[in-house]
Formats: sequence, structure tokens, C-alpha cells
Amino acid sequence: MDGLILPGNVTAVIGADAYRFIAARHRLPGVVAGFETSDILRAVLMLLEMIADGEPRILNEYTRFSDDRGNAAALAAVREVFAPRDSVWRGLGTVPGSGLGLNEAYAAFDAGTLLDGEVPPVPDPPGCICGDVIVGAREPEECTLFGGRCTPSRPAGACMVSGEGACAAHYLYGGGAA
Amino acid sequence: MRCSLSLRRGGGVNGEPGGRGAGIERVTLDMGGGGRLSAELVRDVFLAGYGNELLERLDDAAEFRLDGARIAFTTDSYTVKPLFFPGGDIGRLSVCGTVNDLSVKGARPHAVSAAFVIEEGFPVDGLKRVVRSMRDAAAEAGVRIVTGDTKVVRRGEADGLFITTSGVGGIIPGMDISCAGARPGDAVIVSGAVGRHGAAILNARERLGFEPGPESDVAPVRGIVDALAPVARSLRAMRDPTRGGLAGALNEIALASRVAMRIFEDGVPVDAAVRACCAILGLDPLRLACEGRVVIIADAAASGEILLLVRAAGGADAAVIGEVTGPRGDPGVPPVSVESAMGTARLLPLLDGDPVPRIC
Repeated sequence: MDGLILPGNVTAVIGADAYRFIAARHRLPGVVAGFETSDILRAVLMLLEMIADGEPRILNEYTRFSDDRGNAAALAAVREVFAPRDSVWRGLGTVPGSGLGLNEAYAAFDAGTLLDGEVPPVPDPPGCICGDVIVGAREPEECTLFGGRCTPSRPAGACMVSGEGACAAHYLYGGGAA
Repeated sequence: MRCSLSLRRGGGVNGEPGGRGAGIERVTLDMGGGGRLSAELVRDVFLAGYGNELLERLDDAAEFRLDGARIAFTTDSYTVKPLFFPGGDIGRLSVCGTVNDLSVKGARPHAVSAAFVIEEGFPVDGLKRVVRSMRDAAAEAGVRIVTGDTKVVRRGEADGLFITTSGVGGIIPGMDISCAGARPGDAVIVSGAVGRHGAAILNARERLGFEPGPESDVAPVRGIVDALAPVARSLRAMRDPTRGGLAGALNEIALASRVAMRIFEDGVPVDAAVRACCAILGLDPLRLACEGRVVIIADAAASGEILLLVRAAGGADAAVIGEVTGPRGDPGVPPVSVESAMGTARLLPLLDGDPVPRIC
């Protein structure tokens, strides 16, 4: 991997400083980007410039809505209600402390605990390669469901749900062809 | 009511087989959103229950002959929240929405009914305000409210006020408008800036605090449609892009007409306030409702004249926004695509529901 395009919406809450370790520890450049076509193009340009200079840093392209430190009020609300928790990530598995869950004070509202065992897990449909798509190991077009059994109006796998899913984006911007 | 050819064929929307809603036991909010799930509910419950050749067209208004006259007839319920919003209120909406469903069938609205479901405790002053709005909107649209009904339910059994209006009108001679009329080569025209109603409701209801906030465009489109009478024979299809916005209206026309369309994103008029609201919230202005706009599919040769007529009738921002590119291709692929200023293209499918519920 050569660089990261970082999520502008998340950064509006947590601030770009949260990503500094990626450049410092892993020598990877990152750019916080917005969601317009021009945002993405600009982020790619900034990444390429850093790669060319051999100087990985974390830069912010989405300064109209985010800064280094984030939204103090939003962060305070998150801290009041949530606590870090192990979380399962599609394609990656369980990563310790990588998610948020309601903390003890709000446990009475935690549907995950209240309904524990009552909500059956929903496995990916046979043939779905969402996990591989998300980690960039395979292209959506390599999936036998893509564009046939799995489309944005009738998704079979998670990546086809909502315009933000990797497969949905491939479908909508690639002309829908399998 | 919504039109969609795929419903008439009895298959799923976008030509895909099978309805996911078929096995669902309870009504969900999205089934009232004007998207795919609404269409399935209409097909599986209402058409299955009392379908007939007029209802099955699923046009904005039914068209039939009564003692020789060509009549358009329609009905709509209004549950908008909040009842009063920037640019209008439930009263103005309940008149405009119904007369606009007549107008886009090529009819001149003649008379309207109004039925009220009122929650016990609702302030009479508020009711009077709504009624004044209805009177003013009716005058603007050139109709009278000639019959009605009032029901009061116990506190908690309705949310303030719901209004149902029906409307009847005579079809303008020479007009032959249906969702299924679009042909390859036709121009796609919109009568003004899109997305204002949806954005205004969202900003007001969720107290988002956008200032200056978007104002609803709620208004009768009768003046615009009347002005098109001289070019009636060049008009192929019309819709008022309410729930589902421009994207919904274009998909419905494309599906019913079995054609594909390309929209030029830069050509679609969008107000600065709506654009800002959408950019921050990640919404697509093409999917936000309008309540005072009309989408016109017409012979491209007449598009210049149509633009002049629409602009002269009050549609100052009217624009040609796209074209009908050809017959529909692969039935599994959504028929409407959008081309950006950079030349990239994306598909614009019907959504399951609506991004902003209870807008009308």
C-alpha cells in the first residue's frame, strides 16, 4: 500500500491528529478527503506529491469541515456514552479495542446485550467476496454475484448496500455491467 | 400514485424478478417513501386487491371519459412534518400537490375536495391558518374547494393534522401525456431549481440550523402547463418530481417508456442553499423532493420553444437537463445515468425508500 485517503466525515469529529501515527510509525502518507470528485482527485494528487518527495505525512484536504483537533463537543459526547470494545471488521476479523460500544452507565440501552442470542448472525451469501473487496485483494467484478444476483436495488452482499459500498460504487460508476 | 412499467409487467422494479416485499408481514416506513418498496406494496396489496385498467397505469392521475369529456381524477394524503415549514405549510401543500398531479396529466384543474383528520387538542388558530393557505393556493391554481369532510381522533391517535385532497380536471385538447410516452431523441426539461422542498423540510424538522435555509418551492404548476398548450403535440411525458425527487420521476418515466436517459449534472438547476445543505449532509439534490416543479419530456425540436414558454410562465430557471438516449438496454441495469462536469458517468437507480420521510 502506498498511501491512504482518510474519511472526511470521521475526521470532522475526531480530528486529523488521530492519524499522525500512520505516517510516523508506518511511513505511510495519508490525506483527509471530502466526498466530491474534486476532493478525491486533489487527495490523490497530494498523496502522489508526498510519495514523490519521499516524505510521508498526514495532510487535510477537507479543511472546510475538519481540522487537526476535531469537534470537542462531539468527542465529549462520544466519551460520555461509549467505551472502546473489540470489534469484528469484514475482511479483517476481530481487532482488539477497535470499536465502540455503550459504556456501563448506558448498558441498559445496549440492544446488543439485551437481545444477546435472540438476533441470529447473518452470514454472507455463498459466493460473496465482500471481505476480499474491502481489503483490496479482489475487484468486485471478480465476484460471480456482481451485477447479476447482486445489484444496488437488490443487494446480496454488504458492499452493494448504499452508495458508499465498494461494490455499489463499482456498479454505479462502471455502468452496471458485470 | 406512481407509474412504472415494470409494475404492469408484474415483475420487480428495474425489471428484476421477484418482490422482496412479498413475504413481509408488516408495513415499514420505506413502503410509503415513493421508492421501490412503495411500488411493491402498491402492486402486491392494492393492485392485487382492486386493480383495473385505469389504476394499473399508475399515473399521477387517472384519465377517463365522462359523457364524452376527457377527465383527469386524482387523490393524495398529506402527513408532512412539521405542519408549517419555510415556504409553505400542509394546507398549501395539500392543494398544490393534488392540482399538480392533474396538471402533469395535461389537465386543467377544476375542483378539489379536502378531508381532515384532526388530533384532539389541535389549536383552532393553527387550523384557520392552514385553511387560509388552502384558500390562497386554490385561488393561485384556479380551483375551488367544493366538498370536504372532518374527523377528529383522540389525542395520540394522529400527529396533529392529516389532510387528504382529491382533484378533478378536464384534459387540455391536444394533450396526450403519460409516463410511457418518452421516445429516443427526446429532450428532458425541468421547470426550475430542484430539491428545495425536501431540503426545506429536513432543515426545519431536524432543526439543522442552515442559514439562510432552503425554502420549499411548493406552488401550483398549472400556469406552466397551461402555457404549453400551443406545443401540446410535442409533449411526450410530464411528472411532478415529488417523493424520490428528480431521480424518481426520471426513473419512472424511463421504466414506463422502456427508454434510457442521460442527465447532465451541471445542467440541473440547484439553488445555493440546497447545494450547501446537500454537500454537508451527503445528500443528492437529484433525490430531494420538489413540490412546484415539472419534468417535461418533449420532442427535442421543440425544446427551445418550450423553454421560452416555461420561463415566461414563471419558470425562470427552466433548463434542458438531458436527453432520451435510446431504447432501454439490459433490463437488469438502471435506465437513467448522470454525466458529471468532468465527464464521468454514474447510474441513478430508484432507491428502496426516501432519504427524507414524511415530506408530503
